[in-house]
Amino acid sequence: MRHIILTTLIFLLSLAKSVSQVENDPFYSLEDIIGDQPESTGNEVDCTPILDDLQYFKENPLNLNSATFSDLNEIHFLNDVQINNLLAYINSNGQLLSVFELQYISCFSNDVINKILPYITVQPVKEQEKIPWAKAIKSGRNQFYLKSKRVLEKQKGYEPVNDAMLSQNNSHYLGSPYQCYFRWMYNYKSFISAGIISEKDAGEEFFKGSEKQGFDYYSAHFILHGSGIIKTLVIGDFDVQFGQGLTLWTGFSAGGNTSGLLNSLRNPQYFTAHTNSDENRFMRGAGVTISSGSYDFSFFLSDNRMDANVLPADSTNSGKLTVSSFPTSGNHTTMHEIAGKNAVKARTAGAHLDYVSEHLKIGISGIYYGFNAIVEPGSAPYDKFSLSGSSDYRAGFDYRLRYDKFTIYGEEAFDKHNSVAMMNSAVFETMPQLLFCIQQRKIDRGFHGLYASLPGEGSAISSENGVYLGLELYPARNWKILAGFDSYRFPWLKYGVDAPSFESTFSILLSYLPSREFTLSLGIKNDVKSGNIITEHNPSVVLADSKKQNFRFNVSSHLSPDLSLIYRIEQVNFSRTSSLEHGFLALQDIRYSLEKIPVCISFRYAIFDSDSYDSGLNACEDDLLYEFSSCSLSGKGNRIYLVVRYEQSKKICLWLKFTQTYYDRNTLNTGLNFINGPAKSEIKVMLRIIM
Amino acid sequence: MGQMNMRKFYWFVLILVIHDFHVFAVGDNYPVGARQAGMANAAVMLSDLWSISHNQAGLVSLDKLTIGFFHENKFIVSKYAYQALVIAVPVHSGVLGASVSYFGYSSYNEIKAGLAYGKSFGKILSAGLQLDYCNTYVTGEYGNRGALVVEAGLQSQPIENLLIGVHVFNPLRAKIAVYDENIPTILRMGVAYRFSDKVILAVENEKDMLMKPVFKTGIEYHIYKNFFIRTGVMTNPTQLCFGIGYIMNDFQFDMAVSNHPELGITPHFSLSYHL
Repeated sequence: MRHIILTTLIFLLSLAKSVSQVENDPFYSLEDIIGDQPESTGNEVDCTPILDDLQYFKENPLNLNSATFSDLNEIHFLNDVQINNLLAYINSNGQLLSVFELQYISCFSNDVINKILPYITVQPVKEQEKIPWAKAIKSGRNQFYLKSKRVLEKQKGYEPVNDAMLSQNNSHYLGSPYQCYFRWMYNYKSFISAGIISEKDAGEEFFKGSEKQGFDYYSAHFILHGSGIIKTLVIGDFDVQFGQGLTLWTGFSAGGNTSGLLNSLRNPQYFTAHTNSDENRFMRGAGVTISSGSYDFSFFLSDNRMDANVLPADSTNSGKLTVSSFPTSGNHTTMHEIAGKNAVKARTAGAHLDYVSEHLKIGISGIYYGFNAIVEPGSAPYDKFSLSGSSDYRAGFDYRLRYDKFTIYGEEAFDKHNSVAMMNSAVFETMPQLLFCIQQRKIDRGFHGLYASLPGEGSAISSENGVYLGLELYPARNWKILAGFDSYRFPWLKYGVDAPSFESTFSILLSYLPSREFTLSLGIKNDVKSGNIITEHNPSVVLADSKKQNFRFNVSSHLSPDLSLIYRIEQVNFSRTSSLEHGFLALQDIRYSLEKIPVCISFRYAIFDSDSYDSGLNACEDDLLYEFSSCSLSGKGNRIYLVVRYEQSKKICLWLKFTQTYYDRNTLNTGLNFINGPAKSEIKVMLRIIM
Repeated sequence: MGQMNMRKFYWFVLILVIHDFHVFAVGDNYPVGARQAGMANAAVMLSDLWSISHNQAGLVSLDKLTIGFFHENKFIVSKYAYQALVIAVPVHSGVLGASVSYFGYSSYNEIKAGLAYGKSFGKILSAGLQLDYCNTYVTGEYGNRGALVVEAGLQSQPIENLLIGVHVFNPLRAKIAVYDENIPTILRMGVAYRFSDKVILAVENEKDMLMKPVFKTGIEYHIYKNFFIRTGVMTNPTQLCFGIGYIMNDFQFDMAVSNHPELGITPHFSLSYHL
């Protein structure tokens, strides 16, 4: 008995320590949810929706005893197996008495418990609340965000130009190099939320020229989560998530296959506010989810505008607008980009019916969209099956079945031209120490991912057949292994790949976690990709495999609640035909919370050296709240950044980030972003006010 | 081949190496300490007097005034002698150190003089900082050229017996004036595990911004009473190192030999004394 008390006490103490550690570290474990996103290389990933959820739960911890599957899903750290085990545990053993019970639930490792602790609580279940409207308007919470950033060096596009050049389409940026962002958000608990977002990207005009209305982009939304028959009502700009995303899924979706091993199961939230800064792919209109018993019915209408690459008027199309593609950058910085701004009107309607029971969830969904323009992709062979015409519809069937320690899920969808997309998965929880999953996917050529989020490695326009195997293994105390193998075929051509091709990815991550504060890990990734080889002697197209091996050794140590140090060494070997290129990265992170003043600091010093772009390296970075950047480094040089968070009070918080990348050469970038010097520096500031 | 011819051949190889592999570069950070040399310089996480050259954070382990002398003769070429004199003084808030090293001969030489400071933050973390003046002299028009260089390091012990060190030389990318000659920027990171009081195994990576990464590993075995043996290996180019050490009262004597595949053997000696 004494022994048990002692162990509990030790556990309690260590838990308390880790809680404070998490709270002091605003960046903790975000990388786990988002993963290394190779496709977002060099960009900032706007993960506002995820952080909105986490921040809400931090202030209003989720009561595990009353949480539903979708509530738990919003914490983002738990996979399907863990959520179901938790629900099953509560079902059979009654309500949890304390958070310490979590460690008795299968698949809840200390690591996972640590991550979710700041966002959960365990309390007896209370009666469900009704929305007190009068109170809601008075006691709701208002948040304001102001953000700005700019590159400090002079870039070519911002140099003054003469009148002759002014009329040229792409010779210069029209606006200033400052990016400006404003967001107002209102919420009353989780019942009501509303918001306005406006943004001006770097290089866009502000209150002049083509942007007389001020900001380049405005967005607003209102969402109501009721407890009665109307489960969700949304008006304004919103994202839609149905099924597994093959028919309809806009906005952010975490992780790809290779990052989130067992997290490929998506738990749709039907409608969410459109809060990230994607200026094109979202719905503008209204949507409603009606809930009755085990059935959820969702329906929406949208009338939105999208940027497009407009083709010159053609006599054959009787004056109807013709476009070649829809760019997604949201930048309107040059004459050419402004010409395509909001050029196409897209009308969209969609519906979804879900049946949910304890073990089974099935749904059907459909979407129709039409443009006031005709889409005519380029004539290159790889574009033969690209999005074309002026309207399309898709319908899909999705399912999730859980029986004992076995889960299957997936979605099958087809479109107007009877092209099919399929994704089917099975997760086996054989023992608490071993989980594995199999996923199959098949996307026909001609199936388009507009407003959908297709599984797989390729971009939304390419057809792909693939199989993914994933494994999560706890071979011994303190050891963890994640492994995945993904092999896929592209039956049609892609840009730069002029024949059907076969590719594969293998990854393994071995971690040693001797204590809560210390992790040592070794990751190995092997990518085989295909590409054209063009030689003078042989003008016909030959494909050759390129192989990229990546070795990453990472040590992360939380020396005290206030101080964390992370060390990483990474090596890349890239080979194609007979050439072999190398890349190398070494970095040191320091995260420190000051004692006397409410300031957190995150600092990085990194040194990199790669022979080419292909052997370049990616490193995720700490950033301002709501941003998560992955920096792509190639060439020789070093990179430093410093993020400072100053929390003056619960109400006012200020973030500042300075980055500088120094290269061992005299000029950087090409075109409008050309810099005459060896370094690129950027400064970002953000202010949050809560009322 | 006569003695003179052999010398000429060495000179020829050396010049080749300088141009191709940058074994030497202006203002390079040559390591000091025969204990470390015996472990292939996998030493960024170790702490003793010679930390003043490898990672100033390691100075904090000294509790008495300590002085040391180091000598090595690169590839046993008489004009390529390298020597250093170091001193470390524990003060109220940390440990202060000073070092001066000299490489070369009358017509070409490099002098590095540094002031170091190491401070510990509890048992688990220490930090160090050094300010150097690096001077290169070449006879004739070049004369004396120098620059101020900063070094900084951290050492930590996140779990029992595991030592981690990181050190950066010249993070501010100082250059030797006039000719725009770069003083290298070098990042070193390493982990060591102390298996018992007797054995320590160290692994380190060193990355000069412009050079290939160098991996080093070394082991030290406390074989008998006051007697230590050491060995290590490093890559780019592959070099084997062996060393011995002996402690007598307040004196510590270390000796090491390293073997460069093209240029041959380098002996290293160091002597330190706790006052």
